[in-house]
Amino acid sequence: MKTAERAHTPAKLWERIKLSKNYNKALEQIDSHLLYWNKFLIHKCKQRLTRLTQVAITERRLALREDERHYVGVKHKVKRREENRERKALSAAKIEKAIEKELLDRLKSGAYGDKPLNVDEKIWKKVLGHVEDEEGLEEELEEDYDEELDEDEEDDSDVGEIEYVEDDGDEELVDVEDLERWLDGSDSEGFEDDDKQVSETDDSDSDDEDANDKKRKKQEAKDERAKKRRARVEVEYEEEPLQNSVPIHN
Amino acid sequence: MAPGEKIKIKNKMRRQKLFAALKHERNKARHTERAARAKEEKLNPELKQERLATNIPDTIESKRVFDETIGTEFEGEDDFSSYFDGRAPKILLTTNANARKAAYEFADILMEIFPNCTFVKRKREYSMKDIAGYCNNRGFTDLIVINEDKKSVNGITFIHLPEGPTFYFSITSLVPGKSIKGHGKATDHIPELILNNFSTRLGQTIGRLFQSLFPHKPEFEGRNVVTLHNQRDFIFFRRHRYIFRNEEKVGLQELGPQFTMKLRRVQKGIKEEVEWEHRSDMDRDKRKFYL
Repeated sequence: MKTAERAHTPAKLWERIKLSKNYNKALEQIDSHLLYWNKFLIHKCKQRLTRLTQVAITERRLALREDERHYVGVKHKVKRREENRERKALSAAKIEKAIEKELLDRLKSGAYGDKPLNVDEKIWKKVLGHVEDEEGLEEELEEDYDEELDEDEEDDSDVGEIEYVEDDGDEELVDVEDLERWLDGSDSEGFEDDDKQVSETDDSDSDDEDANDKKRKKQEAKDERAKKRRARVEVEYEEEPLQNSVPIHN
Repeated sequence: MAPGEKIKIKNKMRRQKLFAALKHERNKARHTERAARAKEEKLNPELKQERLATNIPDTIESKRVFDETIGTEFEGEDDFSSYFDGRAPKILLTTNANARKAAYEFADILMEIFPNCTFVKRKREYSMKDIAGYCNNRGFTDLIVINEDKKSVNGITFIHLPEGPTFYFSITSLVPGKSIKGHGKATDHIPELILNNFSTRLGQTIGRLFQSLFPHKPEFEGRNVVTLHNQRDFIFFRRHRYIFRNEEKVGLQELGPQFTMKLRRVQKGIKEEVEWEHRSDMDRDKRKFYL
């Protein structure tokens, strides 16, 4: 507060009063000190006090709360540098090559077990042959391998169709579908039959419509392909659950 | 043109023309040289082998600053030994508080990748420590917290339970599977895991961290493989389906997502004492790597 009575001593012109920390007491203090003042000014002072107390409360609360994240500024230069290094690291990594190499290593070192589920049997046999050639295994081991090979061959003779059907050049999507169907379990067989029926009816309709030999030939080829696929799927039903039971239930 | 020689032509167009001609000439010379060499080496393949054997380019990897922990076997116990003793992983996935759409989308992606993973929407009132406590009571082995900022995912925290450690990675160049060209549809088989180039002691720890997030027995019939490839401290995440075409060739189909992680902080316990932190002055030497 300043008053005209102290106007001749500028150093003491202003009067400063420290308010209590208690909000209610502080309000009373304002009332008592500004007894004869303009009502508007008293109100303004009280408003200011209220706001300041509120700010103090929020600050205290924020200081108490532990922040999960602390923000760190990242300079554009650093950001760009990291982007560039990442790009260059990616090109130096040659990830796909590294993956392929690692997978082949695993295949050849026998990490997938004696009867791997993720390899075509033809290829697996070749790999086994390579291993024999390279390492020149002891006789016992060789005998074991031979036995294994014999077993494999026997298996093949049982379900010779596998060799005929599973083509390396086949699209992977088909495999996935097969897997998914297999995963669906017993329902899928019925589903498959439905498919067959539908395709057959479709074929007959189109045959009626088109008299062209070429088209017919094409369709026959298609049918053959479809049959192949179906044949393979059926074979897998018979075979895979037996093999799979080992890794899953362990 | 010799390197020291200078051509001073004031007319810019003429100067450019001249330089273009010079460059063209140089390129042509290089191509003819290469063609000649290829011809020679086709007749005599030993020459090519010799050239490849002697002419090995220096790379940042080959000039890497020596680190004494490289090549040593991982010894001693750490907090991941419970996994290697046979405890199956069980993961709780959550986001930062007040997360936006991007975080939830990323969570969906991660749910597909990690088997045995449950997502919980984050509530503001629980700190990471609280959540870790609840997880311990319910037998979770890992807590993953996605960090989203400015509508994009920029970080991920892995907390190994029951008592740490905590790893914070930044995430960049996140590409969801859908936007990868020729991507396949993922099956929910347990994937194989490939961890490449985690060589130092810290790197091995990181490798063990990722290993402990996946179940012990992969389902090989799914032919899914998850790769974490470390190159120059950047960890590239990829997921593929593979097929052995023959005994020398593997076909890969990308399933997505792709993203790149970089280790920023390792803390003891659940976000307690900082054990290792990436500082920007660590980048000063291009050939010093920590993983």
